[in-house]
Amino acid sequence: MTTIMEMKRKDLRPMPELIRRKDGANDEPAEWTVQPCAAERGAPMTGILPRVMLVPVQDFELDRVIRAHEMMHAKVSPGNRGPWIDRGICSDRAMICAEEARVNFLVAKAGFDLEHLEDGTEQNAGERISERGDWEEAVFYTAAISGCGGLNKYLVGIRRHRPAWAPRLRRIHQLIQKEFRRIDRAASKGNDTPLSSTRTRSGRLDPNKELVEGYFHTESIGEWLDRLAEEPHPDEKEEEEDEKKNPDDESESEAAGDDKDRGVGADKEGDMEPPLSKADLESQKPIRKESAGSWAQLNVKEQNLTRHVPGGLGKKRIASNMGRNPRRIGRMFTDPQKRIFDRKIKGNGGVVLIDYSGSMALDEQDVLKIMEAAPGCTVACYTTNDYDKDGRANLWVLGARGRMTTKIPRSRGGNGVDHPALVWAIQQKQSGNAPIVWVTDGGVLGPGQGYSDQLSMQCIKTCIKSKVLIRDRVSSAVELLNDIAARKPIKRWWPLYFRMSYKRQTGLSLTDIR
Amino acid sequence: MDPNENLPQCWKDYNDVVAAGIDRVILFGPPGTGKTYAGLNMGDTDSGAWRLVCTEDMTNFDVTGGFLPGADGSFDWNDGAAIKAWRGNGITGGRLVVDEIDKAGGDVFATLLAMTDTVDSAKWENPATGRIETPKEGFSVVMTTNIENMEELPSALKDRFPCAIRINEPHPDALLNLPRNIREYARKMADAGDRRISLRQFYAYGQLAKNHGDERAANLIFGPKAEAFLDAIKVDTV
Repeated sequence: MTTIMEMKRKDLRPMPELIRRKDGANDEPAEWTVQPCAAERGAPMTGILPRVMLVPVQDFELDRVIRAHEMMHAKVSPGNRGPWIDRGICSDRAMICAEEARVNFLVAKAGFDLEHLEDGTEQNAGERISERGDWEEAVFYTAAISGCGGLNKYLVGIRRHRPAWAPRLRRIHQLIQKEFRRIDRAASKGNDTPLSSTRTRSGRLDPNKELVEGYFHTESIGEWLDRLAEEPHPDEKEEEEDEKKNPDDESESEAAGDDKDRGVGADKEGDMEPPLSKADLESQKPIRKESAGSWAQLNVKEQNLTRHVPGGLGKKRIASNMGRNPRRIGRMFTDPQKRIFDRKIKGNGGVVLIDYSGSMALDEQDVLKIMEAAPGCTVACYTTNDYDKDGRANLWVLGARGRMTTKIPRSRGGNGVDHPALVWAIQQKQSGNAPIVWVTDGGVLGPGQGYSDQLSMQCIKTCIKSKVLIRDRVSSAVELLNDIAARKPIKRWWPLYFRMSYKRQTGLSLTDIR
Repeated sequence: MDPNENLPQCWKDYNDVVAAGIDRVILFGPPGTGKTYAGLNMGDTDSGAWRLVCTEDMTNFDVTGGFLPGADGSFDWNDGAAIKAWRGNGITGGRLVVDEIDKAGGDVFATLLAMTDTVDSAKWENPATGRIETPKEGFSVVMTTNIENMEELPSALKDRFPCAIRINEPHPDALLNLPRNIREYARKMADAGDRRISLRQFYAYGQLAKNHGDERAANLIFGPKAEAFLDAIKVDTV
C-alpha cells in the first residue's frame, strides 16, 4: 500500500509538451518549464505561449485533477486573451470564470473525477461573498467552480448570510452545465464547433493574435454571466416586486422557503432576495456561437472643418444682475435680486454619431441637416466595407469645436464598426452631461457578416450604460436635437432590431428601460 | 512539388544546406532524432558514407587506420573511416559522419581536425606505402553531437564547421514506422528536456500497446512517467 509519505515524495510532473493544438501554439517541440506548487486555489497556472506551468506534483487525487485541469488549459485556452478582451463582448472576470467552467467540463469529459476538485476554501468564499452581498462575484464564482466538488460547500457558505441566493446560484450552475452539454451534443453531430476546438477563425496560425473557435463558447457564456451578474435596473425591481405580490409565483415560494434557514448577518428583508428573479434567470439565454460576430478596426479621419457654425447645443441666456444691456427690465420689480441683465451659459455640447451605412439610405443633404441641428456638437459618421484594408478611414469627424465640414464622404455600404464608433463617440463627450445621439436603424453588423445578437447586445449594453439616445430617421434626429437644445424632456427610443435582440436574449422588453 | 514543403524547419534547413553544397555541417540537439541517420543517408552519399563514433578510449586506428595481423603472419595496413571517406568511390569523395567528436581524446581530436580540414589543406602520409593521401573532390563531413551550446565546442572545430543546425524533432520518415495515433506525440516529445521520450521508446510502446493495451505498455516503457503520459493523452484526445 502506498503511504502518505510516499505519495508526498512523488514528483509526477505532467507532460504539456505532448498537447496538440490547431492554432500554432505548442507546435514546435520544446520543453515546458513545469514547477511544483501548492494544491490551492489560485496557485496553479498555465502560460501557453511562454510554456510555463505551475502544478502540484504529488501523488494525491486532488493533485492529479488539478494537473488535468491545467493540462486542459494548455489544450484549449487561448495563448493570449488580449484580443478577446479587446472585443469587449464580456467582462474579463466573466470570461475567466466561464473559461474555468469550460475547462472543468472538458476535464470531466476526459474522464477525470471532478468531485476531488475542491481545496476546502469554497465554504469560506461563499460566506465572504454572501456577507458582503456581492451578487456579481457570487455568480462568477459559481461559474468558476461549476461541476467541481466544492460547489455544495460554496452554497452552504452562501446560505449562511443569503439563503435565498443558493437556489438561484445552483440553477445558474445547472444552466451552465446544460449549455455545455448542448454544445457538446451539437458538436458531435457536426452542428456546432467543438468546445475544445483550437482552430483559428481566420485560419492563420498565430496563437498570439488569432481567435480560437472553441473560446467563442466561453465568450458567449461570459456575456451571459455578465447579464446575470448585473444589478437590476429600477424598472426591473418594480417588476420583481409585482412578482412577489403574486402568490402563485414559484420563485416567491422558493425564496420564502429559504427564509426559514436564514443565517446570521441578514440585516434587512430586501437583502435576502437575490437580485435576479427566477423568471428572469430562465428567460436569459447565452448567445449561440453562430450569433457571434466581430467588428472591424476603427480608423478615424477628421475632415477639413472649414465652415463656422454659430451657436451651441443647449447654450442659452439666463437672467443676471450684472451686464450692459438691461434686456429684462421687468424683473426690476419682480425679482428680489433684480436680475435685469442677460448672461449666456455654455451648453453641454454633445456628440452625434451617424450610421452612414446603406440601410440608412442617407444622402449628403440629410447629414448636413443633422449637422446644422447640432451646433457645437462633435458630429461623426461611419461606414465600412468587408473588403476594406486596415488603415482606411471608416469614421469621419464632420464637425467639432464649432466648425463643420462641407465635404461629406460617400457611403461605402456596410456598417462594420458600429460599436467601436459608439465607444469613440462616448469618449468624445465634452462633459458628463453631454448628450450622445446615435442616428441608426439598429442594423449593426460586423464587416461582411450578417446581423448578430452578440454584436447588437454589445451595442445595447453600451447605450444603456452611457445613456445614448437613438433615432432612426433624419427628421426624428433633428427633432431630438431641437428638443435637447430647448432643454425639453427626452424620451428614450429603441430601434426594432435592438428590441428584438434584447427580447430574444434576456426575455425582457427594452422599452421598459428608460 | 517542393520536397521540403511538408518537412519540419530543421530538416528543411539541413536539406537546403546540403543541396547548396556545404560540406561541413554540425547537427546537434536531443538524442534519438535521427541526426546520424541523416548524416549517413541524406544528401549526396552515392560515393559511400563512413561512421566514426568517438569515445575517450578510441585511437587513431579508427580514424586513419593501422596495421593488423594478416593471414600469412605479416601485418597489413587497414584504412580507417576518415581515409575511406576521403577516397570515396575512387572518383569522388565520400561522407564522413563523426558522432560525438567532443568526446574524443586529445590526439584523436587533433587527427580529426586534420582530417576534416579543407580539401586544399588536408594531407596525410600513409605509413605503409608512403603515399600522400588527399581528400577527393566531393568529400563531406557531418558531425553530430548532443551538446546544446555550440560555444562549448573548441574554436578550431567550430571554425571548420561553419554551419550548425539544431535537430529538434525526428524526420517524418522515421515516424512512419510508428502507429498513426502516437506519431505526433513522438514528434513533440523528442525535445521535451527532462520529460523527453525517445523515438526508440515510442517504437517499443507502440509494439507493446498492440498486444497488451496502452496502460500496461505505458507502465512497462515509461515507468513513473506512465501516469503523466496517459493523463496527457486523455486530455489531448478530449
